[in-house]
Amino acid sequence: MHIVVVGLSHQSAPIEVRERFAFTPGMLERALPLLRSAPGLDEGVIVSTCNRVEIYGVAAQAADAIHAIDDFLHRFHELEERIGKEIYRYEEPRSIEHLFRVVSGLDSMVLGETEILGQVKKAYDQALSAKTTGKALNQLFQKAFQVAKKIRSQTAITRGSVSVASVGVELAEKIFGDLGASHVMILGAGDTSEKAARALLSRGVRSVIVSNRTYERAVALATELGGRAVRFDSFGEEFVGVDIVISSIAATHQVLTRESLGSLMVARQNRPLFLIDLGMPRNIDPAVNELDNVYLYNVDDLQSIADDNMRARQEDLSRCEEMIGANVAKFQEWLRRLPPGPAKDHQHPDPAGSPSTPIVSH
Amino acid sequence: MSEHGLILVALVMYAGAFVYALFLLQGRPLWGSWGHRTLITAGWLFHTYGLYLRASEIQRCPITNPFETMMFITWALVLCYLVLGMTWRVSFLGPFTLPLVIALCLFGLFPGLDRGRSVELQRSVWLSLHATLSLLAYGVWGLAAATGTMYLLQERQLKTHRLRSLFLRLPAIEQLDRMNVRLLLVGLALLAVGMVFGFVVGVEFLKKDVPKTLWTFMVWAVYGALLVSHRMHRWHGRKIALGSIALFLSLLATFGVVNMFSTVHKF
Repeated sequence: MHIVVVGLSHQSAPIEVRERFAFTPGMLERALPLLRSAPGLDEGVIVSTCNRVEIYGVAAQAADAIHAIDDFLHRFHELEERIGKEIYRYEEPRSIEHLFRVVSGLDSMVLGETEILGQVKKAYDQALSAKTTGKALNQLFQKAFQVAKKIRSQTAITRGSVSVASVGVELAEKIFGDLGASHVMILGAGDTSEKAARALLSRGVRSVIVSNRTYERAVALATELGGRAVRFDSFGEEFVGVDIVISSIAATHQVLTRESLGSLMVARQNRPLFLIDLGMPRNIDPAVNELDNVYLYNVDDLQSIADDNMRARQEDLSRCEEMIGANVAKFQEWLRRLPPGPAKDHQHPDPAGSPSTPIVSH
Repeated sequence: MSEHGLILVALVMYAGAFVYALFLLQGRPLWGSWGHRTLITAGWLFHTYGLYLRASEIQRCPITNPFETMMFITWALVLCYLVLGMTWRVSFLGPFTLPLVIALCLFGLFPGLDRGRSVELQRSVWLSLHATLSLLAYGVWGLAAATGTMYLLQERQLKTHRLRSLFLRLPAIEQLDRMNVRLLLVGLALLAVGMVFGFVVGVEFLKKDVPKTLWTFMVWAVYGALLVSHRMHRWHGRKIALGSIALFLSLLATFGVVNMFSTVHKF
């Protein structure tokens, strides 16, 4: 029994090629039964995300499985021209190692991102419902999820945010905790401000106020974000009620000085205030950071934190690889002991997800 | 096993939990964060049994000498951590509480402190309640000092933009601030009720023990003033954190000295 993977990812193929092989949710419903009937293939799981399309398969002979999947991919997408170098075709142990790396976020565009784990879980659940998995793939995917969980909890690979917008959100959460009661104000309707505001909205902030020199632009962005627009000459009046301010105004002078904020903080009853200054030149006097309960970050500060977090992730990469290597070896041992079952013997996994022999090493 | 042996076992478990927390900080837990909680809980159970043995032996609340009092305060501190810390879900509070617990336990185990007994302490339910609630209040304020320390560390990281591995482990500063105020309030209420039970025991004690009575009133008033400043003058975060640490350190520093001058509270 051999496990293989055939696929394309952001590392091997440009989007123009990947999109030709992508499976939409509707396509998957048709594709999985067809995959089940592919000649020579005993089991199969299709993983299709914006960055990768992969099919994991099991067959008595690895070459047969690779050929069957390759053929299925081209036939299903009605591609007459054979794609060669953009598609990777891995046999054991690399196929197993590849899945462990993918679910752990080591093969992602942003190292350590966690969204992929949910996407692979969903792909596996769909295959399970379509009865295209059997003993080998059930065990492989359960183990892959366990390995990803261990890597996530025991290394720094997913720790800290690695983009400017997400660092802003992380800092806001470390100041206010739950953002459900926080009010956000955006000064200047720039792209980065909008991204940061969207990131904060995704974490449940209570309201958004937008103020811009061009009022119509403020109204447009406020409508898009589900917030409220205020005229630029009156944003100061709203300051008392907001908790987070994202500023990116094209101004030659500072719109917020230590003196002006000092008196505003009294009116705010000294509640914490998180200021993100994305303006160039800077919109906010750096000295406001010296005030009690005021936390000021500019774009360089956020980028520097994102870079530090990415460095920490990269430093832990070798530890992740070691953990994966050990688990691949244990999984192969288990696979070798597996009696060759009848083809298309589709079984549901152990509900506890634990094998009779432990195969995840710590 | 003797009371001292049981307390030593508890101390080793608290120290183990602290070392384990350092591993957690490095992101290398052996059994997840429950390993840390299990060690503290097990240590507290040994601690409780040790105090129970002593209480059975002397037939009263075990706060009749400095050793017993330290063991009772640390027991209350860990109890407050287990109940309040976990109820309010404040992550990483244990590692900040444990150094204080370990230091006070070590001080209490110092040779010569488990000698002599305050003969005035009668076997009275009111007296036991008075002592228990008062010492629990100090335990709660010890926990407030721990959350205050956490606040200052987290605030410093946010202000200087230098985010260490501790940054992700510590809770949000707003959460820490809220917890600090709540703990100060709980401590104030416990001490108030404890003092009321003290009055029930007998006003004649107050006449005999002016230094301790005055000191207790002062402690209660100063903690109360800190909370009034929070309410009336909008003291938030840093000021409350600094206040809770400074007041608890002053409390620890003066507790023993005042007891030396006390006629009734000689422990």
